[in-house]
Amino acid sequence: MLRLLSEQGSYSEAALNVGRQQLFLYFDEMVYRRFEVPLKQLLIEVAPFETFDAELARLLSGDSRAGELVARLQESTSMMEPGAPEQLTLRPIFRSFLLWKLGQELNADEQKALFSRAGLYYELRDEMKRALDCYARVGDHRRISELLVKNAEMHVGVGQYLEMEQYYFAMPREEILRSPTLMAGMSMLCSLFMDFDRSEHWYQELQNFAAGRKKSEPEYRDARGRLAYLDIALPQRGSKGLIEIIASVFQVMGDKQLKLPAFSVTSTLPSLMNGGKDFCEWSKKDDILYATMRKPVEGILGRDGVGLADCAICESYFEKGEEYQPKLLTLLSRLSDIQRYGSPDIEFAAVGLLSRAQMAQGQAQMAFASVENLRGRFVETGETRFLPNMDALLCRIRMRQGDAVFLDRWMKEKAPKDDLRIWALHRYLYLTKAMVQIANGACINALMILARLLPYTEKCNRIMDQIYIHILSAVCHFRMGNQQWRKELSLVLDLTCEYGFICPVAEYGAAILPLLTACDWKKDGTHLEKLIAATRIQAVNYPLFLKPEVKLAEPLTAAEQQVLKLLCHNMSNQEICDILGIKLATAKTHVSRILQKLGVNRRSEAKEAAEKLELI
Amino acid sequence: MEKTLFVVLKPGAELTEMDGCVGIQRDGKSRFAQNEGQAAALRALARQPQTLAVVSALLRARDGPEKEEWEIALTTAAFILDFGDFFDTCGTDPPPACSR
Repeated sequence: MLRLLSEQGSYSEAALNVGRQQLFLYFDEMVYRRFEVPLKQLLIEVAPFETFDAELARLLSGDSRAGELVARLQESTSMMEPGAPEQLTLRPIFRSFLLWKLGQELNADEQKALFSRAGLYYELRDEMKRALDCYARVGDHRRISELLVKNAEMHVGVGQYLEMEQYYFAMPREEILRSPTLMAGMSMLCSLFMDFDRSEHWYQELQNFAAGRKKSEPEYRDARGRLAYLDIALPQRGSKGLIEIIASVFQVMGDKQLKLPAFSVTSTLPSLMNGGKDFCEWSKKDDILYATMRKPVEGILGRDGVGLADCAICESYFEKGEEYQPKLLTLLSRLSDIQRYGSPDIEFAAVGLLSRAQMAQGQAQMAFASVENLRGRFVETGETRFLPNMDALLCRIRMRQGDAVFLDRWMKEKAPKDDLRIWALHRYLYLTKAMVQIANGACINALMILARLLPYTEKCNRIMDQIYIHILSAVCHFRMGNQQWRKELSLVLDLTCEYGFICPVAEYGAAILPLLTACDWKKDGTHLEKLIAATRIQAVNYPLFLKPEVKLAEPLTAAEQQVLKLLCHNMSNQEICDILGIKLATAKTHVSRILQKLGVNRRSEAKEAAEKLELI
Repeated sequence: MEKTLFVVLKPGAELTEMDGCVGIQRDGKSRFAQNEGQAAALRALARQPQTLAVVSALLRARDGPEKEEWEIALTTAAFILDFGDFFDTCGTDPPPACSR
């Protein structure tokens, strides 16, 4: 193979193809033919799948001994790569060979059957994106459509809308227009991608659909039920007028036997006030709403309502810095009821609140344990939809403890990657990411995320998120020496003053304290004093919160940024000179200035610091 | 023991009337009752602080079918949120003891 490659003079595509062909023939002759027939068959059948387990192997091959064969292969060859527990991966080159072999040994129909079986396997495991990929591969549009409808039956906190979005957006318009479920799903999907015009378009289409049906038709009732659901759940509707909507929805449901699709009160967030909807407005009248609504909410919402009002009132008191402890005790006394008869959503909201209260008391380790215990239980019970937000909450707790390793790991493994196309349900993750970036000194990157989130929170009237965004923006600008921080902080203070909130600001402790003490906001001196007093307590609890471990002494010049990039590619001073066309002495000066500004001594440390600051 | 909740108009809030509709105004802002129940509740609040139970009873429609408990609760909550800018709530005693 090497001889062939060298004869070609360079590694052209043609040369590589020849080399690959030779290698495959070698595999065929020396490895593959030595396997027994069932194993050969099995290997070909699992090859199209990046990872597989014994169950998939059994389903694909129809051979009950597939698990044993796989185990034997693992023991006796080096063709498998270690991966996640129970999951097996073939070495890439061997997998390529098997795919080549598959093309020779299975005809088109046999290959289709293989993917159909895999689609079924993924469906059973609730891995809808993979199932759809398999069905798309065999052109099974009917099954794709069925899966999309099935998913759209679920509310966004449970369904896999984000994972399946490419299939939703690829659906023919005519097909969507035939299904109230799909129209409602599209309306919600577009809204969560912040495309509110398209969301409203699909809502309107659904209304048209209902208007064109007789009231006695089941399609009419289905469409009306989904419109009612959208009226309550669409983020851009906010919470204004929600009571009247809920009342009319229940009225209509009572009269016409409509069925309201399931909806989520918390959207899997550790909060009710800042959950599926923003309920800050209700916080202004929390006592009286609690007294009025507690019993009917539990009656109407059933399982979803257990403990909801107790959790909401406690959260409201907590945010306002009022005496929340008796409310928290009441809530905790109901926790076993919530676990037994209620929903995990409320349990997460309650434990989330408990952990925030523990953090506020300076007991971050206890807060971590509270969330981690619940996380462990949710893993056991398969409530995986909560895990991303739970991990973000754990990350926020670790931030207070100054655990840089935990933060780095969260950023690498769990933080959302796409900062430009923001999925609204991930806003808690994005805010957490912005906080980590601030803690790492990467304020500009944090500002970019915050700028993407703000329009969504304004459009959907999400007060609490607006407060968080303006706080973090103010901290960024302050640290960058930009006077814009005053405007951002004024927005925070205006909002918290209107709603009487203390905790949303105070929990930023040491990070926000210098801004509060230096600001010239004068609308309500008492409110500012309260905020400063509460913030001081948190600054004492966590003096290093959001304080960058590494920070730039002064900004890098454009030339230094170029040198840094090359330096991080492990290039020598001479190589840097060659690329930039500068003298060796100049390169040395740049490198020395970079190390100084990053506060490090060695080139290897510069790379690490630059990564943390997101300079590269 | 659960405290009794009172609803009390904010200082400066007063009853107003326009084209036969009863409303409430304060600091140049006004809001009008949408139905007879709300009008009755506003009139009562303009006279003196009322307990939540009384407000809730006033909000029930005088005519029509008997409302279910959840309907009454939602009607009361809607009123609280609609007119929230014009009144305060407090526990146990009417003002001046309200100071939460």
